[in-house]
Amino acid sequence: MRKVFILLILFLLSGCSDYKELNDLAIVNTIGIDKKDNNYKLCLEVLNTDKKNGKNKIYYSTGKTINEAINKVNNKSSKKIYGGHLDKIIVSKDILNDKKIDLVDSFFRLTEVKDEFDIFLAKDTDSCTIVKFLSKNNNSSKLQKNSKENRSTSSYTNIDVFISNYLKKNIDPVISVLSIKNNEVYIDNIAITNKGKVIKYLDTKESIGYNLIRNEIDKISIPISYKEKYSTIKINKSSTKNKLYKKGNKYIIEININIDAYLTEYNFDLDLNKNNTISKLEKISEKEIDKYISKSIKLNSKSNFLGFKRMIYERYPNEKNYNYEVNKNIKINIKRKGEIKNYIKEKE
Amino acid sequence: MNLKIGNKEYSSILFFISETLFLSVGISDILNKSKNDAIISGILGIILSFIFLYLILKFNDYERNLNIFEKLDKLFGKYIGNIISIILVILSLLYFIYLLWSQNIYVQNKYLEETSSIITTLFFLIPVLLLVKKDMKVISKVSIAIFFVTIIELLFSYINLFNKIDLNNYLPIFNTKANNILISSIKYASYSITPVIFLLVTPKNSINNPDKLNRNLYIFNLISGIKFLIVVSFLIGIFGIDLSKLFYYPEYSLVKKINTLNFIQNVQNLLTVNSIYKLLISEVLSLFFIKTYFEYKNYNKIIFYIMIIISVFLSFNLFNNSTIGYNFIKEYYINIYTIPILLLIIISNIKTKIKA
Repeated sequence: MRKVFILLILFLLSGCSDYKELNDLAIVNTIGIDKKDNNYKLCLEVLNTDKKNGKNKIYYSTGKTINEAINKVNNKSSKKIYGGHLDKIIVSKDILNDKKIDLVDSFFRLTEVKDEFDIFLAKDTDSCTIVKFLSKNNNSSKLQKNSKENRSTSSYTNIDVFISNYLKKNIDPVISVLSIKNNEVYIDNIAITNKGKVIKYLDTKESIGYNLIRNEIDKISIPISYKEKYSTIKINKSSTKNKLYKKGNKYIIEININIDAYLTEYNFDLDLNKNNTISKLEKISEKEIDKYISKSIKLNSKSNFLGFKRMIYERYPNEKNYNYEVNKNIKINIKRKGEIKNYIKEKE
Repeated sequence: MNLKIGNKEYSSILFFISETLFLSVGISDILNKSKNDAIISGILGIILSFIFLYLILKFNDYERNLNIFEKLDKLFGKYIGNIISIILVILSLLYFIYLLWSQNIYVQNKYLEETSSIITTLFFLIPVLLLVKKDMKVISKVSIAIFFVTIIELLFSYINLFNKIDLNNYLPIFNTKANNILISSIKYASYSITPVIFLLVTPKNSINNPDKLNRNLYIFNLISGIKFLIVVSFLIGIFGIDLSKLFYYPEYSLVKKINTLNFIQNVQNLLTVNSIYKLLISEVLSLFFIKTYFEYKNYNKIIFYIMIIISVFLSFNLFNNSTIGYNFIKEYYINIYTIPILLLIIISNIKTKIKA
């Protein structure tokens, strides 16, 4: 009897009846989602597995639901659509404005889709145009890499972070924006959403301010000015610690930012060999960073993308009073001057 | 040759059976009720589970040479003892049918979407039947072997997820009604300890070094509790409570997040095999419980196998959909399983004290 069992297992469990070869799968890299006449309009960028023809293929489809549209693509493609390696979805403003954030439901519900993809918003164009441009220049994955590495002006919005913030009280989630300029797709700062609706696009300074306050900044160059001349520092490491305490009837939010930076360009007339010059440069840089942060904080009074109200709610969940004041402590430490010790200046 | 069952091996079964109901219902139910305070509920639940376990083990200390059916007969007399045994056998059978149904849903959801549930059930049933045919010694050895595999899987999973935790997600704490926290902790104790009654099918003296058995069972209960706390902490820390509440299989969704060095990813199917293990061990134990009753009563074994066949077919249509199954366990498990078993244990303990 045991031998019969072993033989049965050997023969029947040696493979799966419905297995799929890699060559039979259409691996979806990017999905663009637009809305047209109350229908979802989808474009799926499928990775090319054929060495001879280097370009990724794009499939277009429409449907009342995302799933219906994807299933229609299955009819067009000779391979089975596979979402296990989905990198990003790009949605147009109409989709978010229509409060159709529930579109991500289908991506969360399907087991084969790994919810590790990013979500982007297409600005001033539809998402399928962006997918087309990305595919044309074959820089889809390059853009993905850049978006993760250059988090200073954009925000790396992983889908579950976005949805988690969307479900949370007292915080407006942000989303990375993609747009087309000079026939190139590029990461265009951040947009604030509220209840799934886009309410504001941030400019570069506000985006950097957001990332500094949320402790999500990466390496970034900041121009600084002194007596109408410009130099540049590069933020190498930044750490933000936000504290909250109550003072009377008001909450005090203390933003403590510690930055390690180095000099990447120097055009001031101050002698870099003097000890106090670096301190002076640090003070100038701190003032510059303060401008970025102040701009974001000012904007936060109209929305709640910095999550200050959330911070109050997390510590004082039963309070209804959200009056707060922000104190900033910025400390910049310029550690290196680069390859040369001083400015390059002609002898008088 | 030592014919006795290994102490630690036998105790390791508790780790799996106390975890089975947390596959879909348990964690999700506690998260929905206690929200960010699920960790506190878990801690209270672990304390309660020790009390519940203590009562069961106290009963197990009575007449160490007898199994649960013999103990019941001795305590309550042949007639009432037999009625209680039959009720326990029915509960065990229903539990087995539920486990098969739950296994079907899980396997179809996560692994073999297009394979017919008859085929998957039959293939999972082969190792279950093979083990049931053997004795508790073999079952215990299998249990300890897969316990170590499970621990390695868990360590790998959670070490890789550590850097994804956002501490702010744990706030606000102490914002849930005390009532909800208490109900959740009772539910934790109920889900984790109630099936332990089926472990009493083996007489305590047939286990090696029986004096140390209780201590080992407590240790494995603690390990199971710690695992629950780790899973809940990671869920809240990574997804935030609002998103965590939505997941049907929270542990699976958690492991899906693993992306180590940008190349170890999509390993969720491999790392959640322990979910199948716990179902398998629980199925084996519930069937072994029934088999022992049949042996004790000298009933024809064919009836036992017919019962299994009927159970398999019943399991396909136990609940119309997963929502009904989920809500059924959530609403009625305590009433159908925990309260009667707890009452039985308390009455038995009182009776043993009176007899002593």
